[in-house]
Amino acid sequence: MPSERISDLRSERLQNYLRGLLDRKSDHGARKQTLEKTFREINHLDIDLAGSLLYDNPLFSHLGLREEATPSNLFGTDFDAIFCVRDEVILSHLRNRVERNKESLVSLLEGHLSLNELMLDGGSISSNIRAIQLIESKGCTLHTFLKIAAFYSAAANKDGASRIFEEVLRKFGYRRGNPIPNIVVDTINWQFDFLRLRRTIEQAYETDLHIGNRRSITLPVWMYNPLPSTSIELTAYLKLLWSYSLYDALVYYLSIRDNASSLVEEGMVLQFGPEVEAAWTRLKSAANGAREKLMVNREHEDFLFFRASRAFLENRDCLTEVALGQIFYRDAAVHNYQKPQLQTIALEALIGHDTPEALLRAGEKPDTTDYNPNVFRNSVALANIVRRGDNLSSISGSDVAKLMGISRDIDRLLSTDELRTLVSAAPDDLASLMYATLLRARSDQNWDSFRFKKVLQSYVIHHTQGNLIAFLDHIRNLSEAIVPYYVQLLDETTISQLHQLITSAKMVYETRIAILDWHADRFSDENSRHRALQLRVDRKIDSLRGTINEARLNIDSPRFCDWMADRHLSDIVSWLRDPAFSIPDFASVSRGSKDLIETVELNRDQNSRGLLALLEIYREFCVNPHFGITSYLGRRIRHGSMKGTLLNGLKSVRGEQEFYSLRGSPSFEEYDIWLVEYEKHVNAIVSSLHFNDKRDRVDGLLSSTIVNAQQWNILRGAAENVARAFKSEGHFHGVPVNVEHLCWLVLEVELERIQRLLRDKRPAWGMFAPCNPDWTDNLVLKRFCSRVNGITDANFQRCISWLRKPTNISPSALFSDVLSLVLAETRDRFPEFAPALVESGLSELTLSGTLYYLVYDALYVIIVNAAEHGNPTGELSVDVRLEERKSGRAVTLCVTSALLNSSNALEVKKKLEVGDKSRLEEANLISKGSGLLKLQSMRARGQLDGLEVDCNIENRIVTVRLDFRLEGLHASAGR
Amino acid sequence: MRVLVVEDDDFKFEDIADLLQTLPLAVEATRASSVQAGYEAIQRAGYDYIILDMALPSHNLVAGTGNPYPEPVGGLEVLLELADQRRPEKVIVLTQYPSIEFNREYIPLERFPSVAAQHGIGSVRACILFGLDGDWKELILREMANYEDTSH
Repeated sequence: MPSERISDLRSERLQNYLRGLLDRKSDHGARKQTLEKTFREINHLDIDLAGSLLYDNPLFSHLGLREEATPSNLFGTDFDAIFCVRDEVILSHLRNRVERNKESLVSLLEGHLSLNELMLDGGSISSNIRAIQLIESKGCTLHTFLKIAAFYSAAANKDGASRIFEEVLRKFGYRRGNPIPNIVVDTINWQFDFLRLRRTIEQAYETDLHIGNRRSITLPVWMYNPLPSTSIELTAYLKLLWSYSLYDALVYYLSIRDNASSLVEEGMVLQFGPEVEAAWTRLKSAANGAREKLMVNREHEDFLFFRASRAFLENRDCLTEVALGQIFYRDAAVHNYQKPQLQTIALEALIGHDTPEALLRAGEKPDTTDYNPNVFRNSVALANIVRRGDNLSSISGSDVAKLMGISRDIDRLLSTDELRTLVSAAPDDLASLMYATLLRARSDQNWDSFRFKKVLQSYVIHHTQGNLIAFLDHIRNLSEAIVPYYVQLLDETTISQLHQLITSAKMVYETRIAILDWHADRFSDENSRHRALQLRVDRKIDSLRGTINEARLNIDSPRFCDWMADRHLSDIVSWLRDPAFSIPDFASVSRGSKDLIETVELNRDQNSRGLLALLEIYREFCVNPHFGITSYLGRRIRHGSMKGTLLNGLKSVRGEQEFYSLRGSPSFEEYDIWLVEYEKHVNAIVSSLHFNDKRDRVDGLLSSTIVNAQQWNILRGAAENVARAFKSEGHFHGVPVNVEHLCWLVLEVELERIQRLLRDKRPAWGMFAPCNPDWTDNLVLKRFCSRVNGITDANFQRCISWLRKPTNISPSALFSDVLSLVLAETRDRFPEFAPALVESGLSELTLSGTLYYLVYDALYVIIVNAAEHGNPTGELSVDVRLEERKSGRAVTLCVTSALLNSSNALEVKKKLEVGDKSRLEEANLISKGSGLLKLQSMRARGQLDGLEVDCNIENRIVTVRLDFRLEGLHASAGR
Repeated sequence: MRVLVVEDDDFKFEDIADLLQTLPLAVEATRASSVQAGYEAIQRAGYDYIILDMALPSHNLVAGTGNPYPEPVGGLEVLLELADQRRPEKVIVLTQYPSIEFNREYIPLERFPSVAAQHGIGSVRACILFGLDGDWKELILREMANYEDTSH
């Protein structure tokens, strides 16, 4: 306005700033600084005039503030700073600017009303196209962009709508390398891991203060937490949205004012002119039915709606959904929760009168495989009940178990302080156990973990006769829904720490097998059945070997699985679920996985994200200092133990009685020199026994990235097995454990390399080979030399044995051990069976992997057949080979046995061709089939790649040839 | 003096046993080689001192029965059990790692007794780094020099 003059401003400093801004040639940085100062200087006396000058006067048009209703470039990067007036004048400023721009704002409000109608009520291709034309004619605000992102997510690939929306999003900034619009879209898009993205953002931008004065920080934070917790946050969000457009600030303010009025303090309530208020009232009602329209993918419905709702805050239902979900997913905030926050008021409006009794009466049968809206609501309600301070001490343990069964993630919704209070106020042992179980899952405190184990053991001892299976039955009677939680929790790691109940290592495995069997029977869970079988075969082999097994490496499995569930499970499950699930072969992955991570980071398709997650999981499995391999490597091997063990006995050996005569011998000088050198080598190897995961640790012998084809192929095969198990089970409960097994398989290659390296080192410096002729001439010196080398051999062997994975995890066995076990078990059944065994091929073949017991299973069938129908003292030849084929590596097993002299070869041949259904039921550890039928069914299920059975009538021999493809199975020649 | 040594490494136990023999008092030493054995030992009897390793296997090694679980801070279970039972035993932690993971933080050995005491574990008299140089022996002897035989 020509009549408005800078000199009319009350603040002289403000006058000066505005004069400075008149300079159209000033550089970008200086202009930004002056603008910031200008806005900060505006007080209530100057607010009207300053606003008019800056926004409406052509003298300041070069500042780009004139297009305040709709931005010309939504995600333009001219200024990252948020320019806005001081908090105390922001509402006056908003009212002024809205009044000044009311025509264009009303037009935009009506445009969004039409947009909602076209997309929510219409939604056809033609209405979508009309909606897009509308956007293009009126311009794109942040609110518009959010709505397009919501429809883009809901459209999936149906009818090409996804492509249309994607093009519009791209037009307004959604493209590779433009992080802010990408985050906005990904937050809403159901295909992206909401929590992981949020953590990445928070880490990247260090948003400890939660609210910044930069758009690139505050917008992502707002995307995750669109409802303010405090009036300060409300003002900060208002400024942020205003930095995109006046329309965005207006709609956000009105949404909070009308749909969450408790968040707007008295004195902050604004009324706008009648035209604006009327247009707003119409818009509010136009998002009704958003849930139905946006719920295309029923599997994720409440989750999807929660994410999409932030695009429809003008609608009360949508805002409530955000309020519910926001607290549910703000786990960090929830953990630190100390006092009621404003956002919970919105929750209480909906569920504030719930009581535990009411929840139990309404008892929703939970669907544990996906997000169930009622379970979701029960969870927040239950958390709210606790947070309100309602006394739960009157709720019995059995009711607490039922409440746990109709809710989920209570441990994430309550702070550890709240959970600790519940434990201490629990009315009975069972309630105490339930609360202690939740606390254990989230607490960092050793005492909490210790008390959980004490409470659990005490409960089992006093209520279920010390029997964990009886305990599970008891829990099942209370609530089936919480059984999987306990079955997963009571793995070998947890069981091994129950020192009151479990008195030996053997008992650890027997108990776990019993739990898996129980779960397999009660819940028809094939995955548990397979794991039980695997463990059982492993125990038998251990028992047969009769050796000491001292693997010192492990991970803290429950913590690892919790971490995986928090960070990556969503990406992995989406990947496994994707019909296009695939992993590239190693040839197309020419670089290490670290580089690959960087590559796939840029590639946003489902497969790449899944693979990226898997590689990150493996890396963390190796190097996480709290639960990863590195923790065990450091504490159980590298620090002291390995050096002490490698040196053990080498100093004291001279004191042995046998060598008394050598005391003072000058020949010992050579031994002393060797011992000093030996210790130096030991120091060198021990100090390099770590992962080369950091720049200052590049000398590490172990790598947490996948750098060779062998590891890659194992990862590929094992991942395909995880996907197969996931599809056959139909839920994701088994995924973390199966992924853990995958990690062990990949690591095993690395461990074998280190074992070989240690073995190779021994001849180089680990053997005492003196040059002085005294040592060969003197018998006592020779004996001493031999004794020393015997000690180093034992020491090396012991240390090498530490570098194995625990045998129960993806167990491995020498083929010769598997064969010995099968022969021993067959002899138990047929005592006269004493064949002349002829072994050929790779009897020292190591078999490992999730399905390795299948080799045992198939061999058992064949050999029991041979014992029952063949010549018990005839020749039994077993040939095993590792073959390279076009389709990959395979283990080929060929067993030939002699027929009984009395047998009719023709009849045997005929019988073999049809299979005998009636025999050998015990041979089949998996199903009720038997013998050849069993082998055939293994072939049909893809567990065997090849099966040939032949009876040679002339030579009177039966030959069975089996091929096992190496996918989940891993084999290496020698140990 | 009754001493429980919770230690799985043979070479380390032998060194400790040799050291205990040098004490002027008669020492009745008991060895536990795992967390489970340590737990049972403290249920069974009382001790004047417990020399406690931190990284331990869950159970004793027995041929043919599968591997026990390695526990990087398994010794903490023994400490917590002692604290839970309000036991009077004095504990000397003797470990080969320069820190102890407690409440998911790595506590340097010299700070561990006070941190443990703040969390209700008051029994830790010293926390000593074991090394092949033998400096730890002096520290243990110094600690045990304060022992007063109260059994009579």
